[in-house]
Amino acid sequence: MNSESEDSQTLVAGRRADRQLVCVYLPELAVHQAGRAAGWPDAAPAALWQLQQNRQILACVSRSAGAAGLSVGMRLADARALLPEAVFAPFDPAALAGLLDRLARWAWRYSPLAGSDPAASLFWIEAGGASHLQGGPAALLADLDNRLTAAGLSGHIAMAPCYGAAFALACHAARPGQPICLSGPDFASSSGSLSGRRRALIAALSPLPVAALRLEADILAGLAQAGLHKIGPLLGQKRASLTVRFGPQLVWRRDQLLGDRDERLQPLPVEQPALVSRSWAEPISGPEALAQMITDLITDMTGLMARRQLQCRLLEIGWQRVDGQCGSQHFALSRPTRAASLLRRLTADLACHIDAGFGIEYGWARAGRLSFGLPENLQLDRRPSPSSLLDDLVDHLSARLGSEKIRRLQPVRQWQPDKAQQSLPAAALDQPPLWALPGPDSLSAPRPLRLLSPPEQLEATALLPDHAPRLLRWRGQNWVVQRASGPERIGPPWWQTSQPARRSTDYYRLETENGARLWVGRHGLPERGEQAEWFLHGFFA
Amino acid sequence: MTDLPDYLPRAALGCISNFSFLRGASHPHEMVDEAARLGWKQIAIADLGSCAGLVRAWQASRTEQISLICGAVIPVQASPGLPPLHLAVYVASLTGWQSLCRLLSALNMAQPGRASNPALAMPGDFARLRADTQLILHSPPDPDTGFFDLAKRLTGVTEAPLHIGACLLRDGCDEARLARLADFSHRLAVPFVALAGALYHQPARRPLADALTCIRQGVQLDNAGLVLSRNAERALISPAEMARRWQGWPEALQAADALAEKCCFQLDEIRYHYPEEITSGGRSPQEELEWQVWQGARQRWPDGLPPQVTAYIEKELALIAKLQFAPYFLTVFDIVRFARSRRILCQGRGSAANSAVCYCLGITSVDPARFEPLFERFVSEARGEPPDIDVDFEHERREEVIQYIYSKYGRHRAGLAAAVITYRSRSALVELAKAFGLSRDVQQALSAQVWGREKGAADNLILAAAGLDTSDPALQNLLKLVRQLRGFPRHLSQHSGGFVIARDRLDHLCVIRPAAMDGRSIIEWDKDDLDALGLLKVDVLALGMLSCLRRCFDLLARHYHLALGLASVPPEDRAVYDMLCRAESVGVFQVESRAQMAMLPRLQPRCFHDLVVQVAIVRPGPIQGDMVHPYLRRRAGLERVDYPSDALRGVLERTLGVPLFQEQAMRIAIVGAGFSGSEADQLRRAMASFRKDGRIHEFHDRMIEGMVERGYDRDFASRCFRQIEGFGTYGFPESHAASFALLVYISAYLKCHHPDVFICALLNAQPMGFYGPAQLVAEAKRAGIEVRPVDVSHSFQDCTLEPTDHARHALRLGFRQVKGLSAGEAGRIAASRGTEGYESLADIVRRADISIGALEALGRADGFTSLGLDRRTALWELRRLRRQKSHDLPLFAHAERRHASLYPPQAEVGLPATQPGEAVMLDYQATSLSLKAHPMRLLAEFVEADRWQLCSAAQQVRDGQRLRLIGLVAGRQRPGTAKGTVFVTLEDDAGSLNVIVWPKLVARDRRALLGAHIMGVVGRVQKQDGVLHLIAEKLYNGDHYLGRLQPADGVARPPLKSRDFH
Repeated sequence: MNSESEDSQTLVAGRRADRQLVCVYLPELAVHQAGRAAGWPDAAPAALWQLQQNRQILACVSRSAGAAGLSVGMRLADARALLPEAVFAPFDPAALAGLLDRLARWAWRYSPLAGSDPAASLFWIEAGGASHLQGGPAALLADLDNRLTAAGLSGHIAMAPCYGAAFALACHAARPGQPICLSGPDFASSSGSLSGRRRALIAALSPLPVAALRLEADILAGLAQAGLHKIGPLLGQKRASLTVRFGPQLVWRRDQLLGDRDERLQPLPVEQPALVSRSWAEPISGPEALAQMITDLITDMTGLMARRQLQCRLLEIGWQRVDGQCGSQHFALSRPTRAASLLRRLTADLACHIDAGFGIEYGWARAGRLSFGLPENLQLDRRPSPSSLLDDLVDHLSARLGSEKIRRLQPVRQWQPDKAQQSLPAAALDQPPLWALPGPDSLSAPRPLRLLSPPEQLEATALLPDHAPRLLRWRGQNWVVQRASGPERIGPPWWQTSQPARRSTDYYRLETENGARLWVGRHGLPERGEQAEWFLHGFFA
Repeated sequence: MTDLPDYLPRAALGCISNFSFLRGASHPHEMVDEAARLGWKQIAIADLGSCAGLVRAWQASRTEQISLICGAVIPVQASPGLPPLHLAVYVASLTGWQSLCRLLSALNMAQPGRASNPALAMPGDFARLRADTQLILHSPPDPDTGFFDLAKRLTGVTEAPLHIGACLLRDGCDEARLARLADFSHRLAVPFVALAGALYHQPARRPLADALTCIRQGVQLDNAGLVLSRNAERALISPAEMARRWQGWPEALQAADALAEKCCFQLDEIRYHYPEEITSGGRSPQEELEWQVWQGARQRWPDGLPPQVTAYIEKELALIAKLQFAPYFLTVFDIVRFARSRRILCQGRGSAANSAVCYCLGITSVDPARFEPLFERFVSEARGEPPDIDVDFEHERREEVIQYIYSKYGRHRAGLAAAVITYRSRSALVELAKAFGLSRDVQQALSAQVWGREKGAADNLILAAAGLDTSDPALQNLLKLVRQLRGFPRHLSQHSGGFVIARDRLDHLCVIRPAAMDGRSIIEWDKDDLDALGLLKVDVLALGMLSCLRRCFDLLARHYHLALGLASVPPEDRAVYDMLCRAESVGVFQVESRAQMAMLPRLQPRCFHDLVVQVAIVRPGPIQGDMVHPYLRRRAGLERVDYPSDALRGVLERTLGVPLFQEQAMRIAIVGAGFSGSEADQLRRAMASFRKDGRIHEFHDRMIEGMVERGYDRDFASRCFRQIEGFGTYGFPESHAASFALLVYISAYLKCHHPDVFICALLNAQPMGFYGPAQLVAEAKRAGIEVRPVDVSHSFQDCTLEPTDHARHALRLGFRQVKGLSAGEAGRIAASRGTEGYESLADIVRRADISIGALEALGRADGFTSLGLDRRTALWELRRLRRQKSHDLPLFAHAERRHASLYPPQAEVGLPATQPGEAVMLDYQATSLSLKAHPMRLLAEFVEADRWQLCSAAQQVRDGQRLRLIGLVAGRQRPGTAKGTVFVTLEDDAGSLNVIVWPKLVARDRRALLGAHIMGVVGRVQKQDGVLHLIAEKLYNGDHYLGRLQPADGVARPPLKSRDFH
């Protein structure tokens, strides 16, 4: 918010009397958002915490929790002790920032200049020159307050001739349902002259705490030490006296509070979608024409992305038929790309699946999940790397069969055989971990590549207590064991259960008379007096 | 169906104990006991890089039918980059033991660092080992050529016989591994031995072993994966099972037994020799001792020795000569003589005070003519072990004494005993909670609910208090492990001052390692281990009160021109006893605790021996033995003084027929139950030892039946036994109580007659005792002493005395009270002040080389009033100076000095005035006390509005009245004897109040009890013998009142700190 950078979209605020900055402070927004997502009851006391210098500190507190004594800045452990029935969850700053941006975008209904300050849980609107559309500043604030209240949000709203004052009033003076309005024609006429308006502003700001000035902690501590807890006494201090102690920041902030110093605000940029479209005078149909349509759209799109230095991980191809019906198809990608060849291959058999009806007169392509990408250097040896070939294969198969269907086995560092591997959608894996290969001389008990899930029960005859079985009976077949090695004994993951009697399992590698190589386990140890259950867990190749 | 084993093994090799920190999961005695139970004849315990657990294992092995093989495992780095392999060194004979100790010591000393990381060795380090040690190279899970090469290299390097050893892992590759190792052993022509390889004594300890692994590796159980053990197979198994599992390899079992047979070394073969350089003029130690004793006697009694003292001395000297303990006395004498030459106060404590010889040598200060010493308690022929002389030194100057010992005997001959730091409830809980992956706030909530060393703390109650689900299996597992882990050794630290001094190399006796502090080395055994082996130890202990007394004597000499010393304080002063009878004992040594304070008005001490009783009676022994009330009744004349028998009359006469002292309890066992002297001592030791085993019951039955047989009341007998139980760990022998009583008397004397001096010295000796600076300053004010605030123009680092118009000096608080001001900077402020003083803040910055931050600390403490600057103005000005200084450039600095007139101080707009409550809070924040007002006084109107009364209101009400009282928490105490009862001290401006919180309430209102700075108590007043208590019925946290002291928008900070004792 206080960025000093020059930007084409920066609004330079002059000392114009008709500036009408609205700040909407939503202190409970984050906890409200988390509660909606997790389904907490609305009135439940709740708080969000975040790590600050390796301590868990409350970052946002619901109204009922605040009434019960929790406050922002409290240690989580203390809060839990104080109010054990409250719900606690980690604070997600990114989610809050996203929501505030959406709120600011929503506020475009009032003015095209709006932005957010996630650190303060606040969004703002510059309503100067636009408030008359709502019937004046007071009406705008009332409308804003009503709509927020209807959405279940309690906003602290203030309007002032400059951002500093609006911020201070919203965060430290305004109450939900009672917007403060210190700007606009009504205010101007009631307060008379310019100096009268300034006096009214000072009178409104004086009782507020100095924290409303948006200062560093060190300066705040210094002011508290000096007994300057409120803005009023601080306004009485001389500039030089403050600068010599606190540096320029304090005086800047004080000037910004009264609008004596410009402040650059960064409104939300208006997004430009990555969209290309074509329309045809004559409706097109037939696979060749449709294929050409898709190719053209992709060419347009990759050109657009190249110009704007973007890459996408989602491509949507859409079409409208003469009868007005629309259809579209999405393609997900493992890696961000704008390679036309790849996109064309992915969409190769789309043309056959489009039901063109009486013909298509309009088609579009939209790129999603965009990321910034520099132009690639030309590859001199034209051989793509094996991993990118595999990625491409996975993309193709996933595009055809569905991303859930193409899966990949991943090693998991666990002793329990059924937990030691896991199958995940291949497209979702960014960097698949490698399976450890045993060295040529190393001792390790091999396991089958694929395990039977669930294992098959079998009957076995073995010498007690822990010898390998000699005879197996599985699905009506009898096997005589020729060679055996083991046991490999795997204990239970004891910490996950309160039952002390979780049983261990012995595994044996067996080779039968007829050459089958089996991985057989016995659940339960007879030497500890446990019931033994034999099972077949896999075949060796 | 079991196969018949070919060969039944006898020795379990390759076991570790929990002294392989965070690896072994059983105590040494658990390993030994379980091995004996399973039928092993020998067990070899070799911990990783350490012999610290061996004495405990050896002690356990002596009571069982099993013998211990001593050794250690040393990690060997075969070549850089490869993981180290474990080489076990087992000791065959005394010389082997010496080489092992020497090797380990050298490795330890060469690799200073954390004690938990065992030192790495190179193959060449084993070159010194001879055939008196046996080596086993432990196979890793995957023995490769690196393993083979190292084994080959070791056979070339050392003469000691090398073996290759392996244990069964049940990982599915056991057969392949054994075959490969057998091949290696064949190719190297070294024997292949079967190891038991136990990491814990029973399979049920596998969870703990896994949890320890997680703690060691800093991972959580859920994602530790393959770091954890695969199964519970590393437990001890029976010889028959071992034989079955090694069925194909009888020669490996036989090789193990052959190795074990050669290792017949036992720890009691270690012989200790006293140092020699303690005599002068060619005298023998005994001659030297006698000469020194008689010389000292003449100084102690310049007017001639009382005849009974002469008799004592002669008797003692004869016994010392017979037992050849003269060098020991001379060693201690030498240390004490050094301390005295440096004017370091010292005094012997413990049973040494029973000795007239020690008094003559100046080791102890209690005149044997003043009470009857019992030399047998100190040195007994029957016990045949060295006497134990503990000497207290000023805690701030003990380091000088320690360095003297190192410089005199050298670090290769003198070492400090170790202290085994064990897991307490809280540390076990915190570390295990991490391993279980509990979030940090749950960890914090849990640990906040555990009180210090609380036993049995880890139960559902705590979970509930921390707001956790008690039925969660993970938490139940956690609690189970906390109970197991409690008491496990965690690391070795240094003992408070037990020195072992050897005639030859210390590292031939035991393993030494560098201490955390530079210039110190410690040996791996703690005091119990040393006792068990009969190694001589000189205790160089630190006592804060001695530092305080030295300061008192210095201040008295400087300000009152009085030369006092420990021995020259006027005895038996009436006013002193009057003061103690009124329980005005804040700051007085030993009798300032709440329990002692409650006892003083009841006991009404009137002479020195009463103080001895007073010190001894508020101890676990008499309390557990229910001896306190009978004694008090008899003393008050409410009960007839009689004796259980005529035989015991001699023992109990001095304490009105009630046993109060440790030696009396021992005498009862001897006289009353027919124990021999050494049996009685064994009984006491059995009680004291860390391991309360079955033998206690044996003693219990013997003692009670013995006493009943001899005609004593059964009830009296069992009370005596309970008392011995209490004495076991915390007993005070009479002589020790006498040593302490002397300090009680001296400190009470100083407090009574020179309170200004006493409180000043006490403040300078902080932290010490039960009371913080705030209470001590309040005490000074009560005594009518003017207390002056910290000030830049008047204060020094320490608190000082300043002359006044009247007899008493005023107490000037020192810079030491100011938080954030280092002693060095405080010193520079005082040193640069000179006689002319400072004019302004800029003047200080210019003249004293001091940071603005330090001045700000002083500013927060309101220390510039003499410059006409209040706290606010000073800090406001300092902020300007800080900014100027940080923007200083050398060139400009010069210009600025020259043109100082160009920067005139600006006319300032006034800052808002400080509110009184705010000022007090700021005082507390900066100095932990306020001379302006007591916070509770300022809060009075607010708390009274809520129907609370300030806590001192309890003084005015009748016994049994119910009140709602509130006060500042000055301290919490939970004595070990009180069975979970917590004592809380509340204070307000008028005084303090003791609140008793019974265990039930502790559990219920735990949060308020442990968390509140201001506590409200609903309870009933109890007045008895002039002692006032409040029995709490409900506790409230009153911290919200603190907000009233602060400006509306000020930053709230936790303000006040209480002193909590466990």
